[in-house]
Amino acid sequence: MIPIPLLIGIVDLIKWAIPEIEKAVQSGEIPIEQQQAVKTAYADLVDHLDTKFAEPQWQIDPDEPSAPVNLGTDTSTPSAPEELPTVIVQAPPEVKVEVVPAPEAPEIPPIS
Amino acid sequence: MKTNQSFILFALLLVAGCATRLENTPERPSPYNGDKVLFRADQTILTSYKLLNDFVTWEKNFRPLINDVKVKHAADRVRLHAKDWIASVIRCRDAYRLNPQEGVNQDKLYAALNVIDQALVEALNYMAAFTKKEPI
Repeated sequence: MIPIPLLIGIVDLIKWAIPEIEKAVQSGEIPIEQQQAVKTAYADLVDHLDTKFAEPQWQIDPDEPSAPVNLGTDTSTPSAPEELPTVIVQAPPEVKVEVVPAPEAPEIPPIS
Repeated sequence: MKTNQSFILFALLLVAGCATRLENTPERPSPYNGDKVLFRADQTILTSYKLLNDFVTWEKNFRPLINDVKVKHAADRVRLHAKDWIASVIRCRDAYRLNPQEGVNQDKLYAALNVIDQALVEALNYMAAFTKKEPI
């Protein structure tokens, strides 16, 4: 099961935290210890980039088929259905179009 | 969820513990020599890898519950390209570190970071959209 409230909290917190981190960087107020931690973690990421992207969650699985596939051992040819399903075709409702006459153009007096 | 929790702790420590300046001092030497751009690049590379990793892990673990091909394809795009995106940012970051004047190197670094930012926004939107909100 997805721990829903926890996931909501994490997503919201991440959305909130990223601009806060950005502001802290812009203001120049980053603890030295944090800088050291980032530098170490960054070096670790670069060193192990190939390994990290080889983990199972990074592998592309084929798309699931839309309908379930029978993986049983029955290989006999399926028999044709005895009767085709009935399709009820309903006529579309009649559409009445009323033609409204265009308003008459005002008469232009002759130029004297 | 352990990785998420450690990220949150990391972020909170970062935000809350703003006592020492980024600038380099003899008493407290800064690993970045006060270079905010370089720090931001390393920070973004780290957090984006972590968040993208969380996204593809979430999608893989909960695929039957999510049951939406759009989310899988978005995760597959990340799976296919994330390594190149991050490698590209790392190359731009190294070029900037060697020649840190404002200009081409900095612009290229920001452009590479923006590509990852867009992928992150999509990933976070999917995670938020496919999370059922319950009244508190």
